[in-house]
Amino acid sequence: VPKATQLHEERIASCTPALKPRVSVVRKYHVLVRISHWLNIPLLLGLIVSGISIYWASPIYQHNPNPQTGSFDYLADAGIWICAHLPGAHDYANHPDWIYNHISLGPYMLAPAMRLHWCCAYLFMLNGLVYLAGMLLGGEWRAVLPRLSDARGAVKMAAYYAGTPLAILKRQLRKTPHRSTKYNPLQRLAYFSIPIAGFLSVLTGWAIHKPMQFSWLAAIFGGFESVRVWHFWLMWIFVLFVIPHVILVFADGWDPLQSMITGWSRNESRGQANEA
Amino acid sequence: MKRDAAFKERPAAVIEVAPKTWRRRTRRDFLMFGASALGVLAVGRSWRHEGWLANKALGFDDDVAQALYSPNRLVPN
Repeated sequence: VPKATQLHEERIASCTPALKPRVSVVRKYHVLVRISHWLNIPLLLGLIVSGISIYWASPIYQHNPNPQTGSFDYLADAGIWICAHLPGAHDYANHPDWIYNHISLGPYMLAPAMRLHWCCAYLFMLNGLVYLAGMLLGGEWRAVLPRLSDARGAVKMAAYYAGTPLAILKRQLRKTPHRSTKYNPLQRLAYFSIPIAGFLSVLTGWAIHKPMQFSWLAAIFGGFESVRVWHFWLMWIFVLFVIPHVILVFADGWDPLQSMITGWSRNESRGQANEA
Repeated sequence: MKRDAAFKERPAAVIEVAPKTWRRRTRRDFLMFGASALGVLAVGRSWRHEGWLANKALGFDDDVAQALYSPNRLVPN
């Protein structure tokens, strides 16, 4: 290398600051959205567990008493069935109580269950407002608005998810359907529907809790007995949402979980979309 | 057209940060998350042992009930 050229290169190297490595991230969730998201876990758990305790005192779905077991409640029947078929459950003291003893606060807990339910319900309403504020402040509400093309896209994504376990078993590489938006159509449908389900749960809850003052509200849902049915099935919507949601979070790697804690995503900045 | 643009999803802006800053912020957020989770657990435990939150909720619910009652109700409570 000629001496003059070498000197020139050294000068350039000494004048040019070394390129520092940088991390590319995108802001994914507003802090209020993250707070409300995580608070939903204890609140929904408290609401479901205490709600089932309240349901136990007066089940919606009843039939004539079974002459053999004396049960008149379908959930109690499920407990009897479980005790008959689940290994180790044959010796359970009270077969009709099996379900309730496992997914509620337990026997003789109606009063504490009602207090817990109201406490969690008020906090759930407050949390809903926090979520709404976060969505508005962060502008994230635009990402969950459904689009006309979403029906077909949601079916496509559902088929993709349904085929994934088989693909894993067969060790096949599958390409995630391409998208240029924050959420895929199925996610948009879910994230748009769940707040609506939450809102309906609150309305039906008020109609049950204050049946005199909110008799008009119960009437909208078809009367007091119907509003209880609505409230019961809305709970199952949450359960049915949470199960695949959690599975997909863990299946999708570290980034979705981290972004819901820190608010930032590295995958999204690389153009890799999270599926959970 | 203007209304459509208001509802349209906006692309997230990519931000470049130094790896050290990124790691520090991530660590801070995880620590805060862990501390908050422990706080919620502590509140949950106090529910079982002391029940002050349950009593607060009951008192608040009573206030709500009072507010919802008709001012001309016959029963005073």
